Amino acid sequence: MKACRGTLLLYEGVDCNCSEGIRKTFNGFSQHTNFAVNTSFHYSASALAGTIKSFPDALWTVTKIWMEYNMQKIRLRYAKTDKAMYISHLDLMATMQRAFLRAGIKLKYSEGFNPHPYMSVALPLSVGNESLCELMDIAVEDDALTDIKKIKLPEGIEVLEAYKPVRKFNEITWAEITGSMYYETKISDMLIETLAKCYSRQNIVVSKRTKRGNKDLDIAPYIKNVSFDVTDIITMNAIISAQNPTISTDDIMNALNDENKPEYIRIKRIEIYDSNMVLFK
Amino acid sequence: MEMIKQKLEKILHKVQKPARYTGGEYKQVVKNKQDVKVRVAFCFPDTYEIGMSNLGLRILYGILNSIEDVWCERVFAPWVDMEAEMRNNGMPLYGLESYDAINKFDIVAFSLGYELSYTNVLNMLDLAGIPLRSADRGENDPVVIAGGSCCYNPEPMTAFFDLFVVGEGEEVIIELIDAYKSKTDKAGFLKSAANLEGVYVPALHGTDSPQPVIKRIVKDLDKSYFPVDTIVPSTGIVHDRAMLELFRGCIRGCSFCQAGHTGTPVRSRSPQTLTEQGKAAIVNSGYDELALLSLSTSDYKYLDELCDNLLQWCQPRKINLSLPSLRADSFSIELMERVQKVRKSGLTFAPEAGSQRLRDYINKKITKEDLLEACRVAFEGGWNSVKLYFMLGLPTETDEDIKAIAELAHDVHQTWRDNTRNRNRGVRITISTSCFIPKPHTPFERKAQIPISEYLRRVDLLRSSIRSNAITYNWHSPEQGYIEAALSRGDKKIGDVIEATWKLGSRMDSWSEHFSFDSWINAFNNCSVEPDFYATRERNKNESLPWDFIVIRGG
Repeated sequence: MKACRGTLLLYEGVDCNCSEGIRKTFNGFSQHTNFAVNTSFHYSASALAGTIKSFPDALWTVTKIWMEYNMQKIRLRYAKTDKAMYISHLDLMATMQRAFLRAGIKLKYSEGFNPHPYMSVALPLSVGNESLCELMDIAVEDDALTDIKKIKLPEGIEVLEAYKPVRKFNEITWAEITGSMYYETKISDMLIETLAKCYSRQNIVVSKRTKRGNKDLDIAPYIKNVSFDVTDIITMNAIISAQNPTISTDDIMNALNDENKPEYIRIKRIEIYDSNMVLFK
Repeated sequence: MEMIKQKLEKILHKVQKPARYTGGEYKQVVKNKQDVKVRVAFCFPDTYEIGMSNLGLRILYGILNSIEDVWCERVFAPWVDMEAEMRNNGMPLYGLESYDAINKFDIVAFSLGYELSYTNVLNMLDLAGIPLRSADRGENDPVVIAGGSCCYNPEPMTAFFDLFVVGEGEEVIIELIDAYKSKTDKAGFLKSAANLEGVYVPALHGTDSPQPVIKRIVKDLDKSYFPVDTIVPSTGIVHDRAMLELFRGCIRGCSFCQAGHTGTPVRSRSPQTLTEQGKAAIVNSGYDELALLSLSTSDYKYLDELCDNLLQWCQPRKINLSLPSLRADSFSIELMERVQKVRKSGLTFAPEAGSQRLRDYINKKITKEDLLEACRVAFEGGWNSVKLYFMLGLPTETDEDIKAIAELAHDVHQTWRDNTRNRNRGVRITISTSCFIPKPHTPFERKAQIPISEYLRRVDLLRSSIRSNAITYNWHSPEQGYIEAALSRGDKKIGDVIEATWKLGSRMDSWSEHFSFDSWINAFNNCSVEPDFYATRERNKNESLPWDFIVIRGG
């Protein structure tokens, strides 16, 4: 039996017989059905499809089912810069999907009532930040690697490379970044010194907003190799933790005292690495 | 351009949905300035999301940019946060394609689709640094023109525009560009433009009794340009899908409907043309949804054939067809069943009036039996949500007609109980009402709108007539409708009011969160103009109307 991972969403109003059936079918699933609940399960794809058919009246939807066993994945590396930095993650997904369809790429769709293509971005980029090293995995119907020149995108997004993925996204650990810091006032040597000092402190405690309110976090272990270039603006070079925890623009900003804070910081991701600082591919 | 680009970088991170202000979408048209003789700013006086969903914009953008030495760019109204940033940073309104300020363009063209966007027009002119009034603009200012359905009564906005296009724009816009190229000064251009059919130049048409202006139409719609290879926005818009236009005009002739009476005669595209255009629109855009547009899609003669052709191509590709504006009858619902394999969300019908008497009076030829039969088919097919749209305040409406709205909704509920596959799931029936607004060029153009207080009384009556918990009732606030009524049947005096209310801070009036009734009432008072004179007064049949000189039946 081949494994299939997914998320099962049960909506309010599922009748009892049906949820009982689902409960039996999907091992370990025992939440109340009066609320939307989320559970992961491992199950064969064909049995899953059979289950869906056997409960036609149930008000439930299976989302995000993907079958790992027969999927042809392609990993795309793309840049998202300039005007495109203002495209949000959600809009980017729609934009990419349309570009793939225009290029004649046959995307593989999930099963379920609302089929959607399998697309996954390694490290979603915040609006207003740029990147030269975005990674996206897509699942396709045929095995052939697509000619990436055929993928026509809005200004600022460019697919640079396509290859068969080997490593998993969760091995990504570090990101090399530049941060353009814009100040209203004139930049002084003093300021650069202060900045350098600030990011080399033993402990850099910032307040991070989480789902359960604000939490203090020492980001010192997650930000390293900090240096500064000065032209009209100050550009910070650094290696920051890419995930678990993600160091955000806000964190870099909040490490500074109010009087040293720039108007805003524009982060640009240059490259990503694994935990041993080997380029992630 | 550089100046605006730098300023944008400074402010875009502070505003909501910044992708609306950057341009750069797939298929936007960028030309070399040296090769271009005429630069056009196509201004849509509402947000990017609304404007980019407008088919007229897509058509004219495509036609203008197909002319080699013409460059048409898009301009939308910035949302209030962006407007504040632009004003604080001394940033003029710019074209999304070039980032050039539009006050140096040759032609600034506005699309006037609804009256509540008038204050946005003035706000955009002001942001662009262009004098608001035509009389105050000089030889170095752009020619400011307007088109769109509001131009069937141009009088309220005459002070602000040099020229109006009345009717459909795709042919006359090319003639206007030719006229512009062949003249050296503005006066010469306006003089030759005034001779074109469908063009109204207020300054040359005589102030007291303007010469008749005959509305312009495209005679052969099947051969006319349709944008199958058009911009794909990089950020969500209101109607985010590929579009097909089946036909223009409407065979129905409902007495309240301006589009139906001004869009005459009915002109269709052939199912062959539409099938090809539909495929091309999907292939070129990468969209997974295709909408079949018209004023009343059920009336398209070849709808069955067209849907068959399209479905055959769309279904294997997982492309959805959507059919807005379907009539409430069983044929339409069966078609909908066939077309929409997934997504049984909600159905929307617009009976407009509750009683058969009133529906007959307003010439909305749908019977209760049609509607209930349509609902029956829908409920059997698994739908469980129906929205019903009505107008309150239609001429001759009585309390009995209003109670009949509630009765109709109860009948729909009963139909659901009798026909649903699963009663446990429940049903949602939603009634929405808005206040009737009499519009120029309709049989009701001389009728009175009911006062706000009377609308609210009728809302209360309807609300108290609803006895079922399955029926939800939403009503639009009448204040916006009252102002819209005053504007749509306005004359030149209304122009002063629009400018006055804009000065008091009005903009984005079609957004209820920004609409300020007080500001409008103050503006009417300051200009000594009585809004009731325009909105709630019945005109007798001898009274001449401000839009009398616009001739609709000429095409």
